[in-house]
Amino acid sequence: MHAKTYVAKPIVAASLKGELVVVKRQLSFYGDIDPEKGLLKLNSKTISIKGKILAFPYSSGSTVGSYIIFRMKKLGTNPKAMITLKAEPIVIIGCLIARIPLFHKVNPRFFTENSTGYFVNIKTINEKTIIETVPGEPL
Amino acid sequence: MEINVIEILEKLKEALEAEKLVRISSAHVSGISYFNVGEAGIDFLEKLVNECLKVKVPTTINPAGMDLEKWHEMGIPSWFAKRQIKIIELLKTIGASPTCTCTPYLVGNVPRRGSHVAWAESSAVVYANSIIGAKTNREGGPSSILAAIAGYTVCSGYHLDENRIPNLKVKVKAKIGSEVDQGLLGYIVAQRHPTAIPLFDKITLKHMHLKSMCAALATSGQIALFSWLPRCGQYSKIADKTVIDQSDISLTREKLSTLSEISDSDVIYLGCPHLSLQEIASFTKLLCRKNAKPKIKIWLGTSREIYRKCIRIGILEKLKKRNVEIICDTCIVVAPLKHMGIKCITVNSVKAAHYLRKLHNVKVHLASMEEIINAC
Repeated sequence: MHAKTYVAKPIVAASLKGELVVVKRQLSFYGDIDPEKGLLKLNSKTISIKGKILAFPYSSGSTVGSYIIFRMKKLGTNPKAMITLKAEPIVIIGCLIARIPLFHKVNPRFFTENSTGYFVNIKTINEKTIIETVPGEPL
Repeated sequence: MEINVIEILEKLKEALEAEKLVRISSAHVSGISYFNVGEAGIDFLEKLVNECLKVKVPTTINPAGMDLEKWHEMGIPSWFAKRQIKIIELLKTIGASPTCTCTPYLVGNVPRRGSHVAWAESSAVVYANSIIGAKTNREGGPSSILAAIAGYTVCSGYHLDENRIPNLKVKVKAKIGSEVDQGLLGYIVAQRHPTAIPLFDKITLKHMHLKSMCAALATSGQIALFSWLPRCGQYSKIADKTVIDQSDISLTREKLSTLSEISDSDVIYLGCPHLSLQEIASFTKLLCRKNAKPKIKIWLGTSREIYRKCIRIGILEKLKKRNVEIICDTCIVVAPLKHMGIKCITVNSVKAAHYLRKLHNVKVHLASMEEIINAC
């Protein structure tokens, strides 16, 4: 299977690899995430985001969300990076304080073409991030 | 890793596609109750304290989850109290003034007309923008603390004059007689047009009613600013219009009132937003004139500063004799009601009615201060 490639803009820059968790709807860190265990509650399913690369199109909800992101970092339950369409203040502040790599302005196709479990390779050079994804196990 | 607040604000500026940062004259921080922010909030504040960061502008803070002195009498469990006190201590270390009120404008945080501020607490944002004429966005807890530390905020949204022009005409055909009616009016407008800048064709001059509407406009929507005739003369130039009639007010009131009688409530709470000294004084006067001694516990919510004034002028004594207590530093909406055995509440606030149902799943009766006194 060929890798798919996307361009994004880094807010907290880094290069890293990891397993993807994709949320296809708006995410509220306050309410949707249990920071103690690093779990994401999606409808009836619960998925671990600890050490994963978390992608969501938009975020919303209480500004306590920034604190939740920082708490995950402190407890070591945090995703290792986040990818979004348009980062808003809750996520930007949370990720900057917690120093969790954050990328935005990715093509919206990212959320239809990729699924949870895909492998992601992120490379950032000079304010430009290239994200490669492949289904299944790491190459 | 060190926190660089200016770097964070610069990143926010880029993300919000703003041109610059703007110097602020004051900040007001939300997210103070342990009920809301939990251990995550403590972690965040501890991080700021560990880095020796301090606020650069006068900074007030929102209500806590309990009266910081009488928490025991309120029925607050001690595990909660301990963590709440920790939050206040951390904020004090950063240099914030422990006002614990949602009405900073009643305790000395009164910006000059036209000045830029970074206020969180949605009801105070509407008040600052609309009544005082200062300029603020609807900041969140984290962004308002960072702005206070930097002394700057991102110059976007309501900081720019071109984004402060009313774009919705509101024709009021209903009788708006009380603070509850006024709140319902704001609630309906924001429900229909959540992000509008409404221009009302008429307005009350009663301060309590205005406070009530400021809170309601930010409850069912994200309204941050409104104006009225004749203050703003743009009325005829606005295309969008909404009409509020008597049935809108009655239906919304019915919807928000899930408890049919005042007499069924565990407690009656007045003080969302926090009461002013004048409001407490007029409530006391009406209660004394009626010689009423209510059977249901009444709590008046205000700031500690106003509470102290009440002691000085003898109001507290009078109220105590009549089964009325002033609780300060807190608000019933951010208190841990589940742990306090409260299931049914009467309030005179549309904002409180909305959030009490949503966050605490309690039954709520909506009644004006006058109706409450009549029922006593």
